[in-house]
Amino acid sequence: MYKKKVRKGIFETNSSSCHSIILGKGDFERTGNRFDVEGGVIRIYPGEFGWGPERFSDAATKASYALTWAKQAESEECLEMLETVIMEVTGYEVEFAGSCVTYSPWGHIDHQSSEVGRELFVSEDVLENFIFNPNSILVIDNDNH
Amino acid sequence: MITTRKLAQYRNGSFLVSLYSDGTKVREQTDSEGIVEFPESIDLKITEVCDLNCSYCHENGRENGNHARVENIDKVTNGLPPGVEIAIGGGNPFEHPQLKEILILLKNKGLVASLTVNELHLFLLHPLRVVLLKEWQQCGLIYGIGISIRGYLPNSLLDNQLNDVVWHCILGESTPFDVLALKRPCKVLLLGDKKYGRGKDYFANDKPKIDYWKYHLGMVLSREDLLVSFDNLAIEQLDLKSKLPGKVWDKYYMGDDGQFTMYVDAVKMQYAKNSISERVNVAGLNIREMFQKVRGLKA
Repeated sequence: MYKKKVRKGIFETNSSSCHSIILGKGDFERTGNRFDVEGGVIRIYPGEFGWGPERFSDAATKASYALTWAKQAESEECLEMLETVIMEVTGYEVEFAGSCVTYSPWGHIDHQSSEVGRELFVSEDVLENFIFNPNSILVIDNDNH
Repeated sequence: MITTRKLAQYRNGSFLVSLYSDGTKVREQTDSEGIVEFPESIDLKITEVCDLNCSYCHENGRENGNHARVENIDKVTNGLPPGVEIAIGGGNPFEHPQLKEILILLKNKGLVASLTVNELHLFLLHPLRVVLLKEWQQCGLIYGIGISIRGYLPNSLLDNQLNDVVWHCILGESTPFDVLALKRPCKVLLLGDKKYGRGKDYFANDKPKIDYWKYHLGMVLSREDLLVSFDNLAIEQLDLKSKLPGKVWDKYYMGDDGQFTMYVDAVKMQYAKNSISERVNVAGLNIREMFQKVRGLKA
């Protein structure tokens, strides 16, 4: 039996090299609680959560949201809690990375949602449940549509 | 109701290739030899002219550049069977004064042409080009349309006027959240940072941006209404293979640059494995001879 290769649903438009792989629904199953580990360290990045509507259930995106909120709130206490929770659950050291590519160096959460994030940091249990429980869904939206 | 029909089917050495009207391509190997006689797709540069002067342009696009001669485009596409794809790029292809003539030439050969333009060369600055592209799609002069996003204009402006649009995002020039901001469902092509031409200096220190992409890639790929494609450079820079189940990789990875594809600069009449690898003068070779040389060239 010889190999069969499929490029699904996209013409070749790349004027510099080829469309080498195309992924759609179901091809990439992100393990809910998975973080990339490099040298024994998990690096958490902030993100842009000022638009939407979107729903996120994976731990990496929810951790990114928590980091963005804590940085935006300039709360050392919340940052420490975030580091502790991820470290205790995963067993790896945690670093917070600055973003160099977004509108602000530490990402963005829409101003109308800025108080919602505070509820995540009520306790370590709540924060852990938010990040690592796949049934905890982060929903973002905006009032521009 | 959307129906998908077969646009073309051809044999290429050991492979049977079928191309469908939604862009789907199926390549079946039919013997153990693995012979590939000609490229399944060619990235064809038809002009050096572009007025955007992007500081990362690996093609060094410029306002006073040259255009490819139509007879040269004819020469480098001779000997290809109907169904082979031609991805037209530049520079800005709209700057070529004989663009439509080129498209007709390719259509008459049964070749499947697609076109890539920058979003700034459409929409607000040149809205009539959208109408033109629509007409050309309707009469089969072009199929796919790649639109490079610069982050200025939302794709909602396009409002479904065109079919088979793929939004091109360069990793170092866009963010995962830019992709999420696109009106969906849509198709996206993630392109690696080409450290070639003006991109050599521009992307010299792109590691933080690539790392940012790596972190948020899962978020993008888990969107159910996004079809995400990658070029080989993005695959390498994002270390994509390690993140995918083996069976997904085996089924969907279409091959390294130069295995089934090649690059032709019809302005300078040069060819290469891809646009960032060593370029060689055509020197009277036909496309099949060039392709066999490409398969032996270093990336």
